[in-house]
Amino acid sequence: MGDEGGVADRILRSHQTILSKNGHRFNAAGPTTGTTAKLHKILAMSVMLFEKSAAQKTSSPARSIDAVMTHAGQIILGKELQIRLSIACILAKGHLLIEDVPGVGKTTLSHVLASLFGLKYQRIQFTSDLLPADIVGVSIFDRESSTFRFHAGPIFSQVILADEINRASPKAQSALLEAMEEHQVTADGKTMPLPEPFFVIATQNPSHQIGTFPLPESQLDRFLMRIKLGYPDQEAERALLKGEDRREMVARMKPMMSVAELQALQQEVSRVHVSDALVDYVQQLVTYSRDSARFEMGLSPRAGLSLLRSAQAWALLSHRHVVLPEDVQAVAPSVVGHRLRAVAAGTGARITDAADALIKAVAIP
Amino acid sequence: MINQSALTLGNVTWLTAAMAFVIAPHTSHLAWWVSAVCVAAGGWRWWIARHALRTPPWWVMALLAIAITIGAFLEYRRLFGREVGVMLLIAMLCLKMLEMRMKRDAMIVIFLGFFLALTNFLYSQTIAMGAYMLICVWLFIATLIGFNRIGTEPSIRERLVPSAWLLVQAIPMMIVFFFLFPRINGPLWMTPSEGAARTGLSESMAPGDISKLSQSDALAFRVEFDGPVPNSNDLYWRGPVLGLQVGKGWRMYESMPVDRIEYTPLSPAINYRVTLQPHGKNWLFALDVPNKIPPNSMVLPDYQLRSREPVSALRAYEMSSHLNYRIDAERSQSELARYLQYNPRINQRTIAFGKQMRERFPDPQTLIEELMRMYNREFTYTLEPPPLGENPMDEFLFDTKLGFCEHYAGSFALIMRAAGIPTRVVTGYQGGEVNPITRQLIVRQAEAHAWTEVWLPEQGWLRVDPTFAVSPLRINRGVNAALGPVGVFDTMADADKLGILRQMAYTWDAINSEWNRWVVGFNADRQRGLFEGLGMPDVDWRTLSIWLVVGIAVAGGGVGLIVLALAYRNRKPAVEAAFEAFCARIARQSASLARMPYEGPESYRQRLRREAPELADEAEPILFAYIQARYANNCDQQREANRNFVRLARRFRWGNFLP
Repeated sequence: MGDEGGVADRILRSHQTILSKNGHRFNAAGPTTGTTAKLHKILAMSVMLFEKSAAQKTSSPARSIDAVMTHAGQIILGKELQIRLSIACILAKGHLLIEDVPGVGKTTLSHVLASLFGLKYQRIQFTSDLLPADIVGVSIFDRESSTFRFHAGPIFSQVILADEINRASPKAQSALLEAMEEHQVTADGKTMPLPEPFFVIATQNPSHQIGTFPLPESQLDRFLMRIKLGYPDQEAERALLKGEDRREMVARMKPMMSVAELQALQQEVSRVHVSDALVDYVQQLVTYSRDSARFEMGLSPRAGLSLLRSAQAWALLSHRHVVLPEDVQAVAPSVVGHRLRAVAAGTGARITDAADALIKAVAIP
Repeated sequence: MINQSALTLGNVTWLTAAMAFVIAPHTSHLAWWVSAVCVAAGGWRWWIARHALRTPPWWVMALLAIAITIGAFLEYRRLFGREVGVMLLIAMLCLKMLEMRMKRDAMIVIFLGFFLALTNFLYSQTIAMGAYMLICVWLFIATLIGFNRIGTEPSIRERLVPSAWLLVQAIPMMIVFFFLFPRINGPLWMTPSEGAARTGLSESMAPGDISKLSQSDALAFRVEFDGPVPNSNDLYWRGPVLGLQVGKGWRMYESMPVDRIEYTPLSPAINYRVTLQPHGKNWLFALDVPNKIPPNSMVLPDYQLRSREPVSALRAYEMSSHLNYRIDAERSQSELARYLQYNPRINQRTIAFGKQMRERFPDPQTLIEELMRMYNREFTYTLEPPPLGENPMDEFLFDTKLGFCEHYAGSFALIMRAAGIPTRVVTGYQGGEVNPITRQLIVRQAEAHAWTEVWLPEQGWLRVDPTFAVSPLRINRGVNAALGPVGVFDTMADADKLGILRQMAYTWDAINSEWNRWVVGFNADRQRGLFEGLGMPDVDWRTLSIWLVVGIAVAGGGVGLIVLALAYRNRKPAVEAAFEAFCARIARQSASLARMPYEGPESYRQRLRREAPELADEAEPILFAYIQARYANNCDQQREANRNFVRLARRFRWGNFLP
């Protein structure tokens, strides 16, 4: 988005031009009568749209979100877009799936995110022999009290880093499923709530790698976003090679935000204005995906909701309190990419292909 | 460099397909190598689009153009004329496709494509061709839609539905043009054809000529009687009259046309309308004997009707005839000496036979009856008679005794002339088939016939048909009946016991007849008749032109109003409409700045700032106002926000902002 800084200024100037061209003199003190008064009111409104966001910039949660982005960018080099997307995902209270070949920094990114937001996190390394109990926990007989006592598993944490989730068997994967959707787990017939906030940041290898169980559609749908990291560019790679160990940097990192602040921001995301026109747009995207022969399966209502929520978060990250179609388009590849399957797309089809086709096909109403 | 954006694979594919579609009917008369050039050029163009290659350099195009021109000259021995003109148009248009680099080139090809569709009417004016050409136009409009679309390529539906709607909107205009465009006599596409028209009749007759004709069931003409259709044995359609006996056969006399038809009618006139298929000759056909001359034609002293120009397009005329008549009764035999002439060097047995018969039967009436009896007794009707040698009539009369109308008419006329009775051979058609649906009489080439006329004192010219004596069925029930079940069309009749096929054939014939009469045959006379019917006699082209302009205004205005009304009913809210108009205004400045349908206002603003900063200064406030009106939370000020944007956008639209 880029140049929000000067926008308010520019609006003022251009409105001034219009007013003077039409014989009105722009009066900073505010005009008093007739059409000039009306024009002035409208002008004030237009400026407000962007000035409001300018004010937000200085408020502390917004400032800390910028800090989160800056710090994450210092560790994960050259991946600003992915960092921004994953932060948007967290602000929209969604689970994140990072997919790529080993060694591009998937795990590091998830660590960075958890630490910068000051969240307690647990890492679960998924393997083919992982059992549901290894995730949820087990009841063990306590000889002293002669009762079974539940030993909570790693899932009772604010952030779960599920590493290489597609290495585990479907059974173990599905243990995560209930937790992700319901924010609660059931063990030995007892239902236990999970801490708040609760996020799953999962990483996975591309499904064509050896020893993987591809996540079923139902499970993929529970992730708000799926992002790909990709190789760093020349410059970033060079900085990475010359710089210090990323693991140490993560270990030294201090949280930029308290849990309360994060929750306040999440509240703010849900307050970002969504106009009817924008809802129309999202609806048309969803409808097109269902009607068009290009896609094997249309988008679910949940996908539409996810799209809207992510767009709200994205708008907030741009310090805007209004969702524009551009926000929807920016998050669509990550939100929609793993939920849509383009017909006859080969195995090598890029994540963004289906989403891109969808965006290009639907006119903004 | 050059903007190739419009020449996408999809657009080029559509254009190539439309061109192939419009050229396809021409391939039947084009030289094979021209068709090959078309296929190669189309395929090459498609390949260029498919692989984003460069178009061939100018010198290749120049060489190809020269080669094709030389080829055309070698093929047709000229460079002007219908055939070669159409051929050059097709070939050069295919070359032009190879030269397309910009949208403008494609537009030229498309508009010439419309013209090419028209050239198909030079060769065929049937209903099927009309429908085919309509589809051609439809395809070309669908192609145009693709070329004029900015952004995404339209789907097949998005091409075909709007283009069909455009065609529907053009219907009132088409009707106005059809009825009011000043006609020159004959259809616009009428040019002297190069050997395209056919007829079974000719200006000379020698044994064997007409037999080929009898095999063809092609339509000769249709007749619509005002009253009931006369009996079959009265249906003698008079064509060329052969009065000159030369060599082995008969020829027409060259004689001056006369102004009036004069004879004594003995029965009331019957009125009918003839719709004649083009046959490339001047002959017009009428029942024996016509009593009026159709417009733009004349009559010869032997009562043959001749058109002033060859009939190279469908020709309709009103006729009326008297079936009983007395002609030239008051003339003396000396005036008719030319009808006694014959070649005495061949067929001497026949000549001797004629003289001898006259001695035995001095009364001509008895002589004719006697001869008829002879034909009836000894001769057999067949379409495949054995070949005849140097003295054909001798061989026919005394040896083979097998033949068809030509043989009977020829031999009878020769005998009569030898006997000293003025006689001439008349050719034309005999009979016809009534279509029970339209009550029209259909006369086919198979019904071609030859008979004789004999002059007797006080009675004048009398029709004598020796074929009738041999095979009365031929006259009463047509060629098929005369030949028995081995005839020409009986295979179809046998398979069609229920008559369904025949019924369908009649229906199709009826439809074609109406098409010919009302669409193809709508000539200057019909047009004048239409205006006379409306109480405006003697319209000239000036009046017509005025009416044409009025008609165009009414039809165009009417369609325009309907389209506007529909648009008003489906109109967009003011904000959206103003935004669309605003974007369209920018797109007119420069196509590359046009907003993509999927481009949001903010990204559009940023792109404008990047690509056209001077325009962005003006456009930005409007885009801000749009974002404000459309996406921001305006609470109770939504109306103000909308009005603000609409006002700004309108001003921009009317050009206040641009230099």
